[in-house]
Amino acid sequence: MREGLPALFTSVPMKQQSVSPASLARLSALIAGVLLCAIVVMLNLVGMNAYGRLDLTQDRVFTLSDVSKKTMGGLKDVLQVKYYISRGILPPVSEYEVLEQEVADRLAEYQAFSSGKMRFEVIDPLDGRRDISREVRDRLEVEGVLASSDMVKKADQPFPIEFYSAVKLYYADKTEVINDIRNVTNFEYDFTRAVRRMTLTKLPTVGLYFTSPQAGLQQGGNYAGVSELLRKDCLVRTVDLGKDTPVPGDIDVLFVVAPEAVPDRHKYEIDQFIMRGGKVAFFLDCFNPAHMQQGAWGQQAVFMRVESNLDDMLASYGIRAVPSVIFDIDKCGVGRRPKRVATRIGFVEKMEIVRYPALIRTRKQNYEKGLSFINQLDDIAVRHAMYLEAAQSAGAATVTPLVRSSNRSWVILFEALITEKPFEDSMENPEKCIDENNSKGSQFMLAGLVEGKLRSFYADKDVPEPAKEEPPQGMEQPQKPPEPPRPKPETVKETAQSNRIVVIGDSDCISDDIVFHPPNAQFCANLVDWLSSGEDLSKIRSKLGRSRPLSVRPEMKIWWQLGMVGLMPFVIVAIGVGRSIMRRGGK
Amino acid sequence: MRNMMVIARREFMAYFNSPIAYVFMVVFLLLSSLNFVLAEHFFLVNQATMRPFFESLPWIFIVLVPAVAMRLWSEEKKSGTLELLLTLPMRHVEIMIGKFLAAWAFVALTVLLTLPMVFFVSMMGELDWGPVIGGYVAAILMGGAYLAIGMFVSALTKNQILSYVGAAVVCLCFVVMGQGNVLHSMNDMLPQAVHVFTSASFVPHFENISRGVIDTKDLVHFASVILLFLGLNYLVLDTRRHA
Repeated sequence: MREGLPALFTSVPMKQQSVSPASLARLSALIAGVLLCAIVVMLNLVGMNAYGRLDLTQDRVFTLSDVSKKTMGGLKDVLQVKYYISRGILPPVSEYEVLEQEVADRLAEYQAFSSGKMRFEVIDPLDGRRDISREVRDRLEVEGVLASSDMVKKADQPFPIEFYSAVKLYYADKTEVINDIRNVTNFEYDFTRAVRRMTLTKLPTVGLYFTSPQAGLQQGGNYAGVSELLRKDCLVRTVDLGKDTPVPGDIDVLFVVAPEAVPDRHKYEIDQFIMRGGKVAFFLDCFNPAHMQQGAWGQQAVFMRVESNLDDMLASYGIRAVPSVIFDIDKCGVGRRPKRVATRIGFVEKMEIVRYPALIRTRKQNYEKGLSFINQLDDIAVRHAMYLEAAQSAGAATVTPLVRSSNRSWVILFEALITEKPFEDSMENPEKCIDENNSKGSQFMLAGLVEGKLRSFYADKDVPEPAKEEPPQGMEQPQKPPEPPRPKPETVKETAQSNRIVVIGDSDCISDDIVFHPPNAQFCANLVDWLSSGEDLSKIRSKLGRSRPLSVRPEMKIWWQLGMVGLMPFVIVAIGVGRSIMRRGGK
Repeated sequence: MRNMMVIARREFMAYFNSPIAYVFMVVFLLLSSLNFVLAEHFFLVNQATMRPFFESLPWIFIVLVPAVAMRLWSEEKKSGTLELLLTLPMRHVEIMIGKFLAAWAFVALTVLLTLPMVFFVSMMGELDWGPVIGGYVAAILMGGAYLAIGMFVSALTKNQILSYVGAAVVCLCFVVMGQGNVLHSMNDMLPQAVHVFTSASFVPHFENISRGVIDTKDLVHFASVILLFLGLNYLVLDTRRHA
């Protein structure tokens, strides 16, 4: 019985018998082959337009998160989205070739959860042309859409090109633009954030409280970077408690940065802010790092203790910052001015950069696993951090370590820093320092969360008097007016039923030196998100750039290598030889 | 169906009657693991991921899979057993698919023998198993596509060397047409063809699945390549019968 397409052709009655059956079979096979190719092409075209995908990744990195779905479900007005992509001048590499499809897939997924409120279109602003005209560039620049640039090779020479890959969103009278989309790794976070910014009636407000005059956001301050980073998602402003006013009510999260001799009245205002439900993150310092840098270079160190005047208040909440410095050689960084050590072997001189164990790059496995705003991060850096410990809470709060040092860390108390030379010892012989100071492999809390019922530090204390304004020196004291009647004593709010504060034993981690280290920047943003509105955006952000470092002892690497490379070939050879011997024996 | 499974089982067991199967497996395991651990600097990169391992598979398969496919028809032709095989009381399509399934199962088994390496990596760090599962699915699908190509080329000639080289060249074409340099050159000469090249190449589809996303368009791509070359293979066999 003849089957298939060839059979169809060979079964046609032929009048001209001059054509041989073999030629006929070849012809029919050729036609069938062409038809088969056409079917396959059609199948692929259908497959490209059919939408169905299964995301197997652990964090569903390629699937919209609940936050994004919820954001789209809450749209009240029509959200219009335009995706500008210049198809004619995309760099010709496969990742860009699939970019349009991937972004379109994501937008289709957003659309599916918008209850018909989102519309999107893909636009080629150049209509397939391969150059950006002045007119197009100007028109798109007015729209906020900017060209991206990349390098391609032309005749083996690097050649710069410009192309468009940007999304513009329109919602009511607001617009947002996401420029320079090169892959979809960050797309969900950027898109959802943009939608939230347009739909939220109020962005969270972060207040930054400084006591140190040289810190702050003004020119030359050490913390302008953190403000710049936070401004992407929040309103940021400094909080001036100098006028003895309470922390403003519109502040959602207060960052107390590098506090130094905080006046009692300010301390009271911060305490009452917490009792009113305000969220606070304390970034504390043990000593003045300006003097520390000299000490790290083997010069005479002058360690100036920084007294924050917050220790007793924090202890009453349940957490204590111990004046100390933590060193960690598990994954430490190199100092800002790395010390180079030259060793000579014969004629060869080897320069080695000495690692700086007081600049700690923490590891993900040492973060609190139950909190998604932090458990997906990795490599948060701290410098000259002090360790924290739980204290007896006056309320009913619990302390959770958010970030801990590794078990290859040790601590030097501040008193020892003044009298001895532990920094030099730590750099010269860190292993010895671990043996002497942490033979049990303890880990130290670098950042902690205090959560639960908090009791005011001023619950059974007098409210500090507001600071009196002193006239400038040399001026004659004006005649004192008669004292006004004393205001009614302030009522202290004594407890916060359920609140949370975060304490970090280091302020360098958000200083301009380190805050642009991506995990630190992400930590700050996640912290604000989490403290101000639950976890929301941090759930998306934490999916990105997740590092999965190996934890292998250097001396064990060779065994792992042998196992990975040699085990299975050895097993296969053994099975083959065994089977061969058995067969010969059988014969 | 039953005939097909009988052929598949017989062919599969036949692989292990000679040392060739063991040599093939050992060479594949050594090439892939050495490339992963040493050439891709697994310990220097210090990340618990199998992505570099899977990324090298399209290239390693070019060398090894045609070696499995080359004998499927060429050997039968050379030894003169093809005519005998085609006169058996079973349909050609059953014989063809039976042989294909046996070879595919053998390639899949070889790929799965790298699983202990994955377990080693998961012991050293927190491994995301999604991309690993995706990687194996992609590798097995791509192995099937390579085999279908190799089997088709094998049906065209009785010279095994020619069959090997021909299959390797066709597979190479399917891989390199998705590479940046080729696309760049194509972009200069014929920009319209860039999209066709990217869609037809194995690499973007393979990478898509091996990152942990199983998408219908990628499945359809591999399925259609397998279908196309098995279909062409069938036509070659059928033409031979009529000739």
